[in-house]
Amino acid sequence: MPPKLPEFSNSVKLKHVKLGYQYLVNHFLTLLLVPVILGLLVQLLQLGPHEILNLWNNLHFDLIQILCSSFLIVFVTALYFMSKPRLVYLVDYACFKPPVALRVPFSTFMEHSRIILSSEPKSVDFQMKILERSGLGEETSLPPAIHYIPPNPTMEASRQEAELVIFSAMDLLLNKTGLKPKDVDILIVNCSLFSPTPSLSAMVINKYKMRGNVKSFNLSGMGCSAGLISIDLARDLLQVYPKSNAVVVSTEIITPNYYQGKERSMLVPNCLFRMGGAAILLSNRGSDRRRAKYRLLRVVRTHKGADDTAYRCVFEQEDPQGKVGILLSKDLMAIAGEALKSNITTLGPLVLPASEQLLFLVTLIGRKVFNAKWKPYIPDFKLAFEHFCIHAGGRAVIDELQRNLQLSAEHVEASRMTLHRFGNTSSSSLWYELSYIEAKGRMKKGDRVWQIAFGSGFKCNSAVWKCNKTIETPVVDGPWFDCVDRYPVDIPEVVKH
Amino acid sequence: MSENRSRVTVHSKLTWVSSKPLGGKPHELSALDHAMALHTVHVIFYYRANPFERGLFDSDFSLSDLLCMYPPVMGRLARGDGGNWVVKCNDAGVRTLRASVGTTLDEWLRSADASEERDLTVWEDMPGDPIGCPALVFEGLMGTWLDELAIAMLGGRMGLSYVGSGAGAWIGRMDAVLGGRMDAVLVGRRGAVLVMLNEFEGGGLAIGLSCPHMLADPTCATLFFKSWTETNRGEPVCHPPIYHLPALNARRSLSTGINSIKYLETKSKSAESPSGKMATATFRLSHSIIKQCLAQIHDECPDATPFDLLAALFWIRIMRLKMPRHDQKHSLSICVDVRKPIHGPIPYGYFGNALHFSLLSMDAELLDTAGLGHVAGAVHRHVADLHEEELLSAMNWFESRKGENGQYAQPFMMYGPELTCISMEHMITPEGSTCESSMYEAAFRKGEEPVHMTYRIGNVEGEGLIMVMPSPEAGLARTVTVTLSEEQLAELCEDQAIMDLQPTMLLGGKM
Repeated sequence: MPPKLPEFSNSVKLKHVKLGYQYLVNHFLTLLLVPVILGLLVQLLQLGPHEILNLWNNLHFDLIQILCSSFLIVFVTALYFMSKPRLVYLVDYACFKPPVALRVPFSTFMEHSRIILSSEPKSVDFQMKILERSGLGEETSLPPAIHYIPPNPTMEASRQEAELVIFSAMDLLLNKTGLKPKDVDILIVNCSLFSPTPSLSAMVINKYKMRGNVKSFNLSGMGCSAGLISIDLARDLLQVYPKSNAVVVSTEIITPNYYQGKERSMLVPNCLFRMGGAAILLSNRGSDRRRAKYRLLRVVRTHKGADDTAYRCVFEQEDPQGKVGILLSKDLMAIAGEALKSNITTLGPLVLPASEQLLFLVTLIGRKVFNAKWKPYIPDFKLAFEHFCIHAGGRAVIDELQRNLQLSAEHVEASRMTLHRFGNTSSSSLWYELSYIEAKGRMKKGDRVWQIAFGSGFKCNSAVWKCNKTIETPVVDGPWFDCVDRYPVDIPEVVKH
Repeated sequence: MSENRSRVTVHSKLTWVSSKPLGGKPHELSALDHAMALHTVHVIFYYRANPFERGLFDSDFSLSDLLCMYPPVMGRLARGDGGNWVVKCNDAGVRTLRASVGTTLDEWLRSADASEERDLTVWEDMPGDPIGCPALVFEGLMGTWLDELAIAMLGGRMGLSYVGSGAGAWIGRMDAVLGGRMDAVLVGRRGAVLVMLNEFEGGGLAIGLSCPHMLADPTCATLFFKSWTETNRGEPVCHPPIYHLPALNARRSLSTGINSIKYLETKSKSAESPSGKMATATFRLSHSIIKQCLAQIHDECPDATPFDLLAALFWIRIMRLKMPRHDQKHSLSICVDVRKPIHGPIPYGYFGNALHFSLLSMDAELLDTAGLGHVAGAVHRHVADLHEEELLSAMNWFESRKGENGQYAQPFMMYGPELTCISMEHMITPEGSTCESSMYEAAFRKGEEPVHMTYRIGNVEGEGLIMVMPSPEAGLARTVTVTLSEEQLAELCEDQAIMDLQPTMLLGGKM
């Protein structure tokens, strides 16, 4: 039909134009230099070998001149290598796989809810609605204390959960990497809502009998993006300490924070947060270069805390009955969008290819100088990264980011499937997602991964990794080993019950 | 309502789920299942060593693996389309309670009586009551005293039971008022199976399993439990459950089993007889004694099984206790499980009800004067004549009582009003079968067999109940549990004929 054809051919033409433009701009230098070099080469060849030898012999060099220039060259080279930031490698990581008895099917969760909140049928209905639309599956897990009717969150139970999650992940990591606990130089543990004395990092040091001079840090209260904050901290420390390694443990302990009241805005975390944890080994040793899985390229941290609305949008407080819970405000999505924009504005110039940056710059100048009505150009991040790990904070978060960054379903598949299988495991969800991509056999050498996480405060942090070696399937020691074949599943809008 | 303080204290409650998500179509209940709707099944296993002492979440999760094979156990009872009961396989899980008992195992077996033993499982006497979660049923609909009752139950005084049929009738009226909406409220929320772990002082564990009789009869409840112990030992399950038997649903002409059908019809019309306070005693009889008695009646009844002998003996003695009425017939209702271990249309693993009730009548005079051998012979002939066809025609009869919209008729009391005698002979391992079927093989760890097990049927009315079960001692030894009115039971315990058998008395209460 006449009207359709021009559109189609238009879009094809546009695609070709775009591809051509990208190739041109991204390989600009190459395209510039190659003809120049060719020209020189042609000139040289025209001269003939005799002439070249004559030229060479005519160059008189003093001994001093030679010495000085070689010193200079060596000095500059040394300066360059010393000031280069140390490369940080991710040797390997391990994710905690909850025992099957801790599984929480929908119907069990709803029954418990109905029994515990028997006087508040509206709250129960609300929880049911949230759960149905949450994108969670039937195999997510809650810690033992929460399985009781009513839940039994004691300090003892919280510590037991911490021990179960952290020690399992650490054991798996030590096994995978062959690392000896006495060789750990830096230990960083992040767990937002459970912060006992002594700290969880002390608990790890005690269990594994680590060295007396291990540099240990315990980050608490920093929300779901604390995982990337820990990675950033580890990277900074690895710049200071040569030939060291760092173990980062990211987890969220749910037992003490299960909301036991009835305010609807505080019941949402109960429906979404689930047990999970990950342990990561980072290193700046050259010897680990060969066996490392990834190399850390960038970490970008953005904090919107200066804005009051952003600061209060995820707030822990007491409800009118005195029960402590986390209040999620209604502007959460809007603020997340803003934080994301901030973050990618900083990240973009560091990772985007020149073609996208040029376009973005041109549109920006155009909007400022010529006409404010020009549509802002959203750079195509798919050109910068092969894989995306979006923190599985909830279905809405993933939908929002997919829309904003114009990602396809396959790009966000890792996030959605992690949300389905493991729920929102807070700071460790990025590692489950990375594990999913590996389990599916999609991770090849040279692929770049973008991990992006949001957290209370309001923070948006990103990390960019480059794959160092192709990951072979099947991945037998990952959390997806027994179920990756069942994925991807189709997650309905509303789960029928 | 028990006036004494119970020695059992419930301290926690949680839900146990299977290791994989189970979905599936609703599990339909057969006609016979619907007929048993007024009763509940309670099974208690006593162990000397506690295999779960480290806590439920520290053990091997064998129950999780086992539950993958039992979607109906994980589900909830609800009214399906068409008004009949189905089990919605919604993966909701098995409610598990933990309690501690303020005494040692041996002391309990010696001194506890039936009403105390009830505390070891979850009891709901109300017909069709949602087991285990009364608070959620009433959802603010009724508030007031029922909620308080529910809260008290959850608080740990599990010795409570609802006051007989009064509350049941009240629920019935509410249902009518709400135009049948009650079930809509209760849909998907009636617990199926409940497990209760009771820890004794000084070690020792009693595991109580309760479920509506609609879902499972004592045999398949026991097999479920046995499968759990087999999974815990790491062995394959001997009798995996079978849920649907085409043979049971096939229509047959009502040519056989006229007697059973007449009996069922009489039962359906009999009014509810108020029973006085009932008490229970357990008699354990050794292998040698039974062998001796069988030898004594060998002439009159050469093929007598221990069940025939004991049913006859107890029937005679109980009848002697009642007012002798020489002009009437005495009846014994015999309940037999029709599962066959090796072949037959109803295999051992069938999960559902496969009980057949039949009536054996004798003249009072004959019963009084004829010897034990004669009566045992009568029982033997009666039992031997029962075939699957009888059960299938009983099923047919239940099917024929369906209403126009396919809804099954109202259930009636299946146990009672006559003296009922339940046979568990099918649980003794027959020669030549590969699997151990005796319930006393249910050991969680090798060498730790149960020391005792009890069956209780909820909502039994009428004259009483006699259960003949296997004993921990193999061979011909049997354990007989008798439920009668208090006075009759006290007399029976001093009856000379019974005392001649040198029984070991268990769970007789503080006599």
